Amino acid sequence: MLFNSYIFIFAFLPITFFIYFYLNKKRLTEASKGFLVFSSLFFYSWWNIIYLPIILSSILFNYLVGSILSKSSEGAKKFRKKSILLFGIILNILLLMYFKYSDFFIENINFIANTQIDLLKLTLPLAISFFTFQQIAYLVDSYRGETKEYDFLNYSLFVTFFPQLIAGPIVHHKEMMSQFTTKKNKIINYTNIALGLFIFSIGLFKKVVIADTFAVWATAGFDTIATLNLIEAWATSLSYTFQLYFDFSGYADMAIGAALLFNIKLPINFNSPYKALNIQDFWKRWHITLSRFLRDYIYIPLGGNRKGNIRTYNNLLATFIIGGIWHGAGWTFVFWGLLHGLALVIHRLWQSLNYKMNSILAWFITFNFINIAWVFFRARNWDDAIKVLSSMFDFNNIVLSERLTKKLGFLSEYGIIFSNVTEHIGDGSKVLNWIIGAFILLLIFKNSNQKIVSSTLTNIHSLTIMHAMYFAILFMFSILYMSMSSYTEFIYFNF
Amino acid sequence: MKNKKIVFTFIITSIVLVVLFFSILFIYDPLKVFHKPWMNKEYLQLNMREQAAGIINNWEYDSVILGTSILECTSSKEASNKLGGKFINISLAGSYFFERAIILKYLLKKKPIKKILYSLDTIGLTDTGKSDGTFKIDSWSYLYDNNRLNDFKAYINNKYLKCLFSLSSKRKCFGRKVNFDRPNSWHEFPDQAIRFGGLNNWFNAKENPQIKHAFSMILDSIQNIKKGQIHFDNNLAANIKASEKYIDENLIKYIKQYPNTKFIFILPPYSRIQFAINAQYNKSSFERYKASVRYLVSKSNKFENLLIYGWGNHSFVDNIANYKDPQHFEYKINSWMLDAISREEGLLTSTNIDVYLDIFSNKSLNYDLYDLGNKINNYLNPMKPKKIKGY
Repeated sequence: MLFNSYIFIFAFLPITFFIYFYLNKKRLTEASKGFLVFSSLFFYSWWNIIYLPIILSSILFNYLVGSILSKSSEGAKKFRKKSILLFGIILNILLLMYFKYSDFFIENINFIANTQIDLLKLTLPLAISFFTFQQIAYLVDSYRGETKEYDFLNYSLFVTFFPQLIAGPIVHHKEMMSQFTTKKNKIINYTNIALGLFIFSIGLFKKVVIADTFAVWATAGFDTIATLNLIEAWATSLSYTFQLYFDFSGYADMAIGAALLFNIKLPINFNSPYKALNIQDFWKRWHITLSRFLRDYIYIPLGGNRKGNIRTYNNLLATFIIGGIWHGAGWTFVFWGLLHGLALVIHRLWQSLNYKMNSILAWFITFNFINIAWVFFRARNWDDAIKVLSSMFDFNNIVLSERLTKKLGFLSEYGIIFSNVTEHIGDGSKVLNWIIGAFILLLIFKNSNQKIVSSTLTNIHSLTIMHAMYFAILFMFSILYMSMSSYTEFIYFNF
Repeated sequence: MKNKKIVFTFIITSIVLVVLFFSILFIYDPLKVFHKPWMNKEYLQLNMREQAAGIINNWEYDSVILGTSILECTSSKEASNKLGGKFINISLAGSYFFERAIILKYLLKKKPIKKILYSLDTIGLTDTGKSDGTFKIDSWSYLYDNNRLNDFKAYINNKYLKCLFSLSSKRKCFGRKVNFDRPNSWHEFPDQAIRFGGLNNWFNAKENPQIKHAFSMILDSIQNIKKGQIHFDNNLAANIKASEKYIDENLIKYIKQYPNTKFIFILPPYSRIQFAINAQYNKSSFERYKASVRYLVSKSNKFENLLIYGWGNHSFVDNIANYKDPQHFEYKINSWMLDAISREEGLLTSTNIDVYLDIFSNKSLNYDLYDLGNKINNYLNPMKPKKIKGY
């Protein structure tokens, strides 16, 4: 079930909300939790019920391993405890590798050894990357003695809670478990409902109005058109850059909004990432909960920055290559991770020189690096990536708007063509206007979390009736737009 | 308490917006699906697949002309006078039987229908297509179910919402002024009308897409006949069976279900050129066509409310002057067909079908396509007149 579907917005969400609080009102706390788990699994199974046994087995296995780890006393043999943790992590990774990376592995074996092993062609169970990482974190924390003993129902709710199940935010048991057990969260809280509805509306708008509009041009440029002119190539890459942000942050907003209806506060996942002035700053703002996971459970255990510069650089590269391959089984994802790892190494080297860069230049370099790196992230294969990238720098294939012929006609001597600028990917002026609009929206305005959640939490009385009317219009506009949109699925559902 | 108010304001505003939005759409109703127009009464949208729903829902009639472009120029007033009843013309250009069945089903359920004038186009008799690809079924079929609420879908798209929010009075927003007698008739359009009168008028309109297509179809067919590459497939028997099933599902089913409705089926009298191409080149299609006609005629024995008319044996079919392209004839022939039906001329029955098809086949097989091909070639390539050798 998609957040941006009528069935979710007008049936699943309100029905789940009312039954959950009704059960709580009747003091049937365990039943309410059980109901929320059931609803979440129903939500998950809506796509394909064959995935259900996989997630259930994963939950049961990790709960058992986590319980053993958290029950082991301080004095328990460290070796035994570590062995259990390793067993747990390895099985989680094997599950992920089997479903997500088997074919990638076989393809590479076939390529290197010139063999013809048949691909398994497994369907990737939805959300497997997310719930696997979330549970690995749980196991590590249990090993470290940072988890309390929770019952199976609470644990199941922690993993399956529908707003964050499919594409994050990757939540930490510490920030979730206590919320599920707090008594005051069992009663309807109108402030949270108002905030939840508002932020859900923003997320829906981001997804269906903005991301899905850019999706059309990005898809045309990457997947359909064989050759692009310079402006089309830039429009294609920027369209994807904006699509990805509005799609994923829209999803995160909807997840945060839906969770707030149940008095659960999910961690923010985006904080205006395209305003970042360096790559480190970007990763503090982009997919924050994944960055946190990579830092706490990969980078730091590898040694972080405590073992000298060379080791730090290696750790950064390793962490980001793992981050890249987490997103998808393909060399383009590995390369994307490597690029980001290298950028972070370069950033550290630059920092060590103690030079301060002009902010505008810093933003320009950072944004363009991110935009170019997304080309590898998006492209279905190397050829598509090279097609877009080479066109972005092909100064022999420049097409300018016909409207500029009078003023810049002399440039035709240098091979510049005056025609429909983005003829192949969509209506030229529309594409360019939307790209300019997206830049303005992202660089000048506050993001949805700053605008609503933070400001309201600091001043609970800041919400007004006008807010309600404004967001209702935004919500209904998005609903209307939704019915006309052809793109529906969230990009991160594939990861 | 204040935040409770805010939540309710959000919900109430959303509900008000929904009600307001749908109320405005209801009033606007450019396809006249919900009510007879309160303004722009003479306006209809061009796309009859969508527009027919409004006509069916809100106009007065007891008989219907449901053809393709072949019957678009048939006057409903004239049909009413000559055949009795009160006709409306909701012919869908280029439609398959399958598409028209969606409308037929809805129409027959809506109210008692006395007569249905229906064209049995070759495309329906020789193809079991479910959609022609241009007009996606899903984009309009919901207008013909029993759920009136989903009809709003027709307006929730860029076209109509832009019209609505910009308060545009453009033609595309309200449709164009039409003569309800034959809303989508094309016989008065200059680019169509000038092509009647003979081959020279086709030549004068050689840039017209229909003429271009016609010339290329004629010349290609001749070339293929010359090379002996006659189109004949080995699955003819299976294809004929498939056509029979298709006819059963999309036509006979309704004939059986509505015995009080008279179904008047006409075999469009395309020009002999078209029939000759089928007979001489698209042989399997031609055989399938004849088999389907036989099948329908055999059904007319069983169902008294089914009448099938054909005039493919008449000489007016041989006269190119009556046609603007190989298929479409002058509106006078539409008029003549109504007269013929009223006096039961051309009614095909099990007693005359063999004779009819023999004459029809012989005339089509003996038509001199090569002569026509030479004329076209000579016109298109005046410097190098090319003679296509005869049979």
